[in-house]
Amino acid sequence: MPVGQAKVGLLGGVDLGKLELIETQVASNDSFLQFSDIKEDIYNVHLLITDEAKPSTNDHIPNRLRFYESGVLESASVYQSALQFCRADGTFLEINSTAINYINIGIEAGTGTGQTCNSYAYLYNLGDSSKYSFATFHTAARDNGNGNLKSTFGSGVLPQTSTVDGLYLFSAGATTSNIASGTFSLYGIKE
Amino acid sequence: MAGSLEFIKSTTYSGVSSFSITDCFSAKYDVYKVVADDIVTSTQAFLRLRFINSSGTIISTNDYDFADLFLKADATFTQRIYKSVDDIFDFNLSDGSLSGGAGNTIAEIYNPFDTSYTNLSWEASNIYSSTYGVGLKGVGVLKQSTSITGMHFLTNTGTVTSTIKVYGYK
Repeated sequence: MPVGQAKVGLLGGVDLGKLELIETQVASNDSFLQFSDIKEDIYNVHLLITDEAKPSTNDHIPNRLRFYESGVLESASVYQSALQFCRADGTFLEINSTAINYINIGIEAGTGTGQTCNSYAYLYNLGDSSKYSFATFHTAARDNGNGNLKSTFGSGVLPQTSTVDGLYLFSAGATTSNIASGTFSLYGIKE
Repeated sequence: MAGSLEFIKSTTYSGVSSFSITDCFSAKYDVYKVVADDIVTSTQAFLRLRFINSSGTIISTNDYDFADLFLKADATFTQRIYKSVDDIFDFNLSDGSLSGGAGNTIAEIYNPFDTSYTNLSWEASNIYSSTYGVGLKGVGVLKQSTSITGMHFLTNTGTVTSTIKVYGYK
């Protein structure tokens, strides 16, 4: 079906919907995952879904996020983050930083059954070189050490006016580990 | 095959203290996504939300409740709880014309068109005090059994520039 005719509905009004899948990656004991064609020139708002991610080391966070700026990975402590931690055993914490080298769009998970991290993260303004790149996120997970259901919600920012053209996901706790498993899907929200 | 997030309307306003998006809610959808991005204000200001009913009236009576949490990168978080007020005051907090610091809000609006209360949840991100990141997570309700067809946005001070996009969940 010719795209032009589809856009004006001449062939039955086909609208493919405005949540457009850009790329899905399935982790298999990877030291990191990289999304390098995020179509930041097309979408001002992205959605990154983490589905059943597990770290290779217990109680590590399998989806810490960094940005590539014009192809260069930003790994300095220049990100800011603020999140609310909620756990089913009644533990609630505020966790924030004005100088951190990643944005935590996930929370600790484990290697055992059901010990997965699941989250969504909206990413804003990545392709706009005149604006900072923001994230808002919400997670649900179980780890190995405590085992209770826990959740976080919050936001992060790379306060630099730059073009973000790639995403870098890695697993870490006190040390780095691998992303043992999980499905990571990046979408664009189109007008 | 049609997708499930369907675009309804987009409106961009520049340098105004208030603006409306009309006729964006209908019987076609029960749940809507509202994306407000590139929110820039002339000074540090809140972007406030009121709903518009099917008669075209902007609802400004004290029938809104909301609660939210400001998550600050540099300080203790702030809870805000308001009952029976005349708007959703905290739809976004913008730090003005800080270079690069355009804020964003994504909201889910539940059942606006049917004649029951209209509920919403939202999350936002921005910079405040010119330096620090801040997130915002909130819930709210308009306690009127009335059909809602649009939204009205206004600042508490200064002017705003933003693009608002409305989608329906199919």
